Amino acid sequence: MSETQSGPIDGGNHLSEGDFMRLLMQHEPALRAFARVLLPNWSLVDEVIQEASITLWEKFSQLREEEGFLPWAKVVVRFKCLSAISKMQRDRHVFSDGVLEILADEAEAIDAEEQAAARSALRTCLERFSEPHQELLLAPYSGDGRVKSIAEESGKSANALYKLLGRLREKLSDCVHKNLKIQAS
Amino acid sequence: MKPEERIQRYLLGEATDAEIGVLETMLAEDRELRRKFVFEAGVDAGLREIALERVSEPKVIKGVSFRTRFLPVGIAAGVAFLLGLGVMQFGAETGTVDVESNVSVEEPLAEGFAVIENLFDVEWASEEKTWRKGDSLGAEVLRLRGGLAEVQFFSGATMMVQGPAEIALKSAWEARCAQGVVRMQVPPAARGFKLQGPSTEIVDLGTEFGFQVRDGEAYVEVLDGEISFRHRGGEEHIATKGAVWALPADRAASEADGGLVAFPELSGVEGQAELSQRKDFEQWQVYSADFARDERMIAYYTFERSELSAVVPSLAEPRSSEFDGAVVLAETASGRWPGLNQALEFRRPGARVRVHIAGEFQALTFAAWVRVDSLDRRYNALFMGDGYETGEPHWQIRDDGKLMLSVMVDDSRPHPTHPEVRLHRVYFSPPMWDLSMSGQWLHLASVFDPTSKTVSHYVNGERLSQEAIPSDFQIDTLRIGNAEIGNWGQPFRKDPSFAIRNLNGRIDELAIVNAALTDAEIRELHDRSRTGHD
Repeated sequence: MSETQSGPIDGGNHLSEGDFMRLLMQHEPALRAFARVLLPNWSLVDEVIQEASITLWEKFSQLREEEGFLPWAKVVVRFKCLSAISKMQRDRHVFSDGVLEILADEAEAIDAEEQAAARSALRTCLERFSEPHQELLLAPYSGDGRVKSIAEESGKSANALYKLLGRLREKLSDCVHKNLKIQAS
Repeated sequence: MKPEERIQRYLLGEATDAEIGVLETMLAEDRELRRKFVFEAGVDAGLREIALERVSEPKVIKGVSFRTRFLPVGIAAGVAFLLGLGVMQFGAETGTVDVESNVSVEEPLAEGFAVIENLFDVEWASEEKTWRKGDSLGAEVLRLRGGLAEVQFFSGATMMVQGPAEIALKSAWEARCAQGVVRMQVPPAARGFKLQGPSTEIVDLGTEFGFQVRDGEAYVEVLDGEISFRHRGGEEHIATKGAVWALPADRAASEADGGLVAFPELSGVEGQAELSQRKDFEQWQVYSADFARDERMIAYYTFERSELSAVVPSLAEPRSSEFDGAVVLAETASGRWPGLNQALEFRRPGARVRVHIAGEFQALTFAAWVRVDSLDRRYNALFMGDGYETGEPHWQIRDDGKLMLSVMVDDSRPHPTHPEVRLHRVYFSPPMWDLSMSGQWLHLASVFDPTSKTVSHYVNGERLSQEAIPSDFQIDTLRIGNAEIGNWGQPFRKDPSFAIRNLNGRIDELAIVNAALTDAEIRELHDRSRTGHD
């Protein structure tokens, strides 16, 4: 039924609305990670991804092959990121366009498979941390001030906790790194 | 500061402008560090994904799902893109107006520490104090006149109670039996579960024992594993498998002969329950085939589908694939007869079934079996016309548990009192759902009847409300066109809390009928399609 929907996908390719949804869901984590390289905070990432997905939808009829989705989507997201950040550059210190361009080049090279392997390695590695450490690692994403409230509960300063958090994150990414190496060999 | 530390501080949003400047210079010069940065951003993204999942996934304990925390706005914004497709169209949202002020629902807390797992021929001692299968239980007293109840504690312990019985639930770890026959099963995780008798306190050291109280006289038998008990405040006894003790109210405990009491068996009950389920299911199959032949039927879905098929057929006779639904991201899950039939689950924000239903209709009845796990959205979709154009219906549940049915009366005219939206009206039922009903199957029906000029809502075959259609909002010809089950395809607003309307729950059966079914017909529909009699 989705093939019979009117909309921009009637351009004669074989990809349907359902395909779009599926591809977007499938690659959304990769696109989010990509945008995170270029943008200074998560709320901006969310905004940009939402905007980009509308553009992707509008231009979906131009896409011929499923395999082309991720690289194509990254181009769109890259463009949206740079335009979003140019609005910020006057107000606060953000990376210059030059640095962003070379970071984007680096991030664009990561393919879907690598990305998926890293995501699954991360899950494996996170499980190796104690419950409280897992909670701390996830705290920065659990809404406002979660790290601070953990600090209060545990009687530590927020500063000390951020330091601990930094070390835990390094340990975690070491683990992911090693895990990927083992997978690759 | 090490470069790695700078990266972490940056990603955590802790870096000062000066630190960002230093990091920027380092990144410009060092390709290896750029790779590292990209890698760390990926880890950051992965962690966030996991964090948001953990918050949004309900904790499930043996069929009871409840949320202790709610989705932060961030994730809603994050997933809104999927539905953001409709954001290109600007117009005004629809169901939001009519007229009731926004009731703020207090954040619900997980209530209770146990759940009624099964009921078999239970007769409750008082009509005011009755429970249904799936109800959650807090500190309360269960009084059974007869029958068998299975209570699952969140500690993992299971209690089978044979009536007549009186059981006071104290916590996930403790209960008191004043009367009745009880069989406790205590897995390792619940070791230490305490059962009190009239003059005895028993601690289960794993795994199974029976306990009977009749007229103050108690009796315990260890069926497997080990227990410790203390009778009339005396010394602690350890009893192992096969041991039987008499526990009289006025004397010390003494060893007794075994096999005096037939303790309720889990497996026996399950077998019987399964048999009666299968019978109900088979009866429903016959009825359902008949219902599909009803001439007034527009579309009828039972959501059975072959593996990997993205299509759910409409079973309305004569069959036409025109009205089949296309499943997007909704997942097949067990239906109201677990193991016997299927439902679709719309847990994921993008989940939906798309349909196209051509034609003009003189009235509409929607009837569905629905299992709501929680009402996460302001509006939680059951069946929604895409564009909400003239004559198109919206059937949904608001977050305060009210069932809603609305029809766009004239999409070219503004609403008389809310000129920012188009002319439509929402008809609400009284609240019919709250979090304690999470996971329960309900039969929901709503009727839009232009002839009698009324809109009615039904839950489990009973009419909850009926409201007149005011003359300003009369409309005789109804349409559906492109529409969605379990979500809304064309949200107008940018605000993600309005844009996402997936139902966190399941739909097992949905009938759309070109008629106003009567009270009697809806009651029959419920009675003949329900599961069991609990």
